[in-house]
Amino acid sequence: MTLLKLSARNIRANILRLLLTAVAITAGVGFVSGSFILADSLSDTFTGIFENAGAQTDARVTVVEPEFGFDELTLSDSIVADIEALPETGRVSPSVTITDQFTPFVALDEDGEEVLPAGPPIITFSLEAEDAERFEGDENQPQLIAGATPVGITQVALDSTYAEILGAEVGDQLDFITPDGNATFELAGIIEFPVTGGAYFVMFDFESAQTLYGKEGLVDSIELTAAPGTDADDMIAAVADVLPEEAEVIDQTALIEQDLEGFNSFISIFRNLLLAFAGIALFVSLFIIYNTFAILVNQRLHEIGMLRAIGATSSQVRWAIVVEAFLVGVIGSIAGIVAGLGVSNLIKGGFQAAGGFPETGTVLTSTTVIISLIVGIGATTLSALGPAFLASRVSPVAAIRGEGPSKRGTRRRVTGGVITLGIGLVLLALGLFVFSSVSGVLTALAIGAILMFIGVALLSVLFAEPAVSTLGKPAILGGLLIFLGLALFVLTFTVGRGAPDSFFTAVVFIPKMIIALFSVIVGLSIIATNSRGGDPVGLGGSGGSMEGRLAKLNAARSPQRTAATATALMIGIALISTVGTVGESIKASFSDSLEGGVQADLFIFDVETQSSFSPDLAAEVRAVDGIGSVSSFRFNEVKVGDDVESVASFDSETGTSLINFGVTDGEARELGTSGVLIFEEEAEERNLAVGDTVAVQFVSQETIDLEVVGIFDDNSVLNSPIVIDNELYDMHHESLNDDFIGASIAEGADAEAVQAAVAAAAAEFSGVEAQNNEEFRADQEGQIDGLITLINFMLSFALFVAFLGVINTIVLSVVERTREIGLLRAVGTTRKQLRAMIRWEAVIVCMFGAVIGIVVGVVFAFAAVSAIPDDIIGTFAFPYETLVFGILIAAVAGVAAALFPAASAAKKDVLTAINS
Amino acid sequence: MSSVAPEQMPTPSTDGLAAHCIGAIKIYGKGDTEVHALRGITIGFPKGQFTSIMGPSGSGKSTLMQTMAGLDRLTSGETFIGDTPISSLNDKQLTILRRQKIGFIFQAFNLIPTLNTRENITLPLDLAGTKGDTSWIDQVIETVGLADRQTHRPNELSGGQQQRVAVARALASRPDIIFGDEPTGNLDSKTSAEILSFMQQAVKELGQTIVMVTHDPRSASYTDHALMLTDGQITQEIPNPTTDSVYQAIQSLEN
Repeated sequence: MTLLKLSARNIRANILRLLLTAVAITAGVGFVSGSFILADSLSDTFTGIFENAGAQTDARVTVVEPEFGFDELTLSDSIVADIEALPETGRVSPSVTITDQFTPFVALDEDGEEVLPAGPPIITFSLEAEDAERFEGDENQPQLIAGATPVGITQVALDSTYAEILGAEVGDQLDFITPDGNATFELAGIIEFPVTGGAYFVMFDFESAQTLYGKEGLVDSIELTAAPGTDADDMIAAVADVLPEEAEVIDQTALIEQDLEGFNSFISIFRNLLLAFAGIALFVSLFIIYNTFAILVNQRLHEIGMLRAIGATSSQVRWAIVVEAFLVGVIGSIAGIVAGLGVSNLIKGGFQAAGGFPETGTVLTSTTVIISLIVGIGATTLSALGPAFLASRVSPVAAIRGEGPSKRGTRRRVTGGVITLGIGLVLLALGLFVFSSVSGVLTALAIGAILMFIGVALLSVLFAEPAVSTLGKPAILGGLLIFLGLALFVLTFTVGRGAPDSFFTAVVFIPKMIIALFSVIVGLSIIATNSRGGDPVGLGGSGGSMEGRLAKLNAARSPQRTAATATALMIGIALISTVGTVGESIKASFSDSLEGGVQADLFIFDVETQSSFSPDLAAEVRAVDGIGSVSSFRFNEVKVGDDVESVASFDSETGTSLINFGVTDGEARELGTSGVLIFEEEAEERNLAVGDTVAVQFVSQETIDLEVVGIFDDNSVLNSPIVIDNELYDMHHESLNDDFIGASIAEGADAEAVQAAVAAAAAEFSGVEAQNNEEFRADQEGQIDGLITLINFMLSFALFVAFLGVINTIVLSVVERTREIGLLRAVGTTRKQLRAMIRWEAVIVCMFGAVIGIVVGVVFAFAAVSAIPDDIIGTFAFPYETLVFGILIAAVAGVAAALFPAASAAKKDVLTAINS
Repeated sequence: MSSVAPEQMPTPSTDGLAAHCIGAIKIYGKGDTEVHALRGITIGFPKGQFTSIMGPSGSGKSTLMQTMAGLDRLTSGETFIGDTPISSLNDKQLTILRRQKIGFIFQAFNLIPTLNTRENITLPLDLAGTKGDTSWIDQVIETVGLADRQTHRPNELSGGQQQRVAVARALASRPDIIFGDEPTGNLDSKTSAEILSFMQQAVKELGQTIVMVTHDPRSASYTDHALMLTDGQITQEIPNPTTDSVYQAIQSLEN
């Protein structure tokens, strides 16, 4: 009881510092709870919709899911009549849709331009009057808000969002791109959907849809209700009897599950991804909490000594600190759960702004609350254990004299650091080079990375002092900032993307330029301040201004504290460096493979969504004047033995001159309907050589014996271990759409004119573009950059927590040094000098963290790049721009983190400070 | 005296004074909690003299020193360092005045733990970005007997040594005046005597001006001049004080 009171009093006495600690916990827990809240809200919204929709239907007839392959399978619509004929069935609603294209029916504006403001997808499906009628009045289901459902091949219905974007009203004539060229439809009705997922909906009646989609005589699914008085199970049994082999009928529960299946796995991936980043942020907060308590214990040694002297046992001292941490954890975690509501909205808003994320309610489950509390309180208490044990080991007399725990700790730290780092590295190596299962690799990498970071943190104590002393030399710090600031300018305009060409790039570009400019100015000011100082008494060493010197000495004063503070930042910067380096290496490898593996001059594909398109385009491209070789490429799945493998098909007659496979054995000649090319690793695994026969089972279920014609070792372009000819593909697949067309330009032809002609042909196929080599590369690199930006956005949460940690440490240091600050002021330190001193200290600590972070990140990325097969990443490249940016962000964070503590230190009254 | 405004005061020559104050009033708090620490003090500290300010706890002696030194501001009245009135100075001007014209010796916590002996001594000079007079600094360090301790950090020095560093720092920039707030309050009598003799020496031989707050008659006996403060007013001045004369003065006050 007494101890609890003491803990509570301590919290009250140190309310500011503990609030800062609690904020660190709040940020970490907020991210965790926000991830759960967002995933639960999504899940709740969609489950509700599908369940409501499903409640109207007793059963559904669908095609039996194939074991493998990407082909879109359909059923003959003759079964609709068979089912309708059964006395057990009531409502029978057949429907068709297009699933292998994301932009099948794009509306055109007056100038004939496609209207797709938020990007794809456009989803098109058939809709009958009864579909709209049965949901009337149910606000969780689509509602007809204007006009009527479409009837006949000239009428269309749109979702309300798309209609609004088009400014279309019922009765308007609208132009659309269709699979058979442009066509005009009358807008018959507008339907409001409760959830669109960012997609636009274009609807026709069933029979028109069959025609428009090229699915005459076909049906994708049929929804059924039982006839009045008939049991649903009886109807299902009756329907099952009339169905052909390739169709199946599923009951209400199963159909809801089927609708939710893909969705639930998406939510679970989405949640786990968010949680991974939340975990990183939480891990960073652990260091901050540990650091705060270590500093608080150190500041309270005198009090602890007195407690011990008057009879508190060491375990009582320990408990007092643990209980204090527990209480802070409770406060921080509860605030974190509340913050999570904001975080989930922030992430949701981000995705919505980026184009498409459903509107959801906010669902806070008891599981979220419990997990957040356990994680937050557990993390806080756990991180305070170390300092608590340290405090309890201090002898009463030593504590009263104000001596810290013995220095013996350092050696143990180093030993611990070496062991932790060692185990971490072994796990990382196992994850990268040995393990093969995805979960094994991820677990080994995650635990390995955590141990590595802890190890580096423990060991960084060793070089904190020399590193800080070096960094703290004004000439070095100032020079470094000027150099890096200028480097960032130069890099942005050379290897980087230069001036922004869109709002999105401007969002990154402008702060980058500000930071570069800021660094140069700060660097110059450091050097200017320094030069007015000089080395007055010939002390050797750095000389320089006193405030800079004191900052450096302060940063070096407690290497453990500096190391722990820097570590928090180090983790974030290390991960950003890793992602940046791996990303840069992927880009470099891609560039290399384009140079080495690809001879094609034009790349024709659906740039936005990679959906397949009609083979008619390939024929048109072949007819373009000045075109050289043309090959279309298709990707699917086949079964070899019991394994499902990716297969690529192409026109082997012309394709070998467009793509260099790097054939090591045999030759990449014409494959015909019996030849196959096998990737080297695959051949080794299956023990295949040129001339051998391999049995390949296609989606059509037919198994064909193919002759191995060649073995290739460059899989970077097609990324499929099995390569066949289109002629063979045609024989075993129903859908013959192309995924990709490669073409060369004939010698002497005007490349630009040829590209323009091809582009004109492609324009009729929605979404398909013709890119030249350079555009193709820029586009692919842009996608990688986009992914890196997204990851960095998520990692910025961890950086934010680390930033709080730096503020926290600086505040604590300032509090701890109140008397020293008073003395400095008394003997003539100006407020400006004092602020500069605290500012440089923060900058030095942050840059120290950034430098270690970059070293760790790059080393880890190097290991990762080495571990990943060469045909995926074969080249290692430094993301200079990111690395420079990382250090400068840390420097700016240091300046920003010191703002408040420096101002409050400078405001302190000299006398109060010195007498405290 | 407290009712007399400074501008109406007769203006005697202040040429020989290192610092002086006119009508110094300091009131802490407001209303019921008002504490009158200084009730209108006018006093000068002559150059080249070692002055002690004596008085019981709460007499205002520390307040007098702190306001004289520009560490705290008067409620009314004016303080001069040399001829410079300091009430109108802003914080920066005051700070620079402190580091150029004033030296400090505190009772405890005089040194910056991260700096070594020599760095602590030259701290005010370094803060000003000036080199100072190296031979003077060497002489000071030699005189206080720290020549072989120049690279030691404060925690490697004894209490007496630390206080000697503090004295040396106060002397390093040859300030117009040095203020000491119970500079030997934390030391044993032998070490105290050593420090006080050194301060005496600094006044006699090096021509410095020192004003020291103390409550110890023995310490006061080292000074040229002792001022007795009671209840915010100067009640007695003792030239050439001895331990006994000061002790008697205190006794008479208490009665």
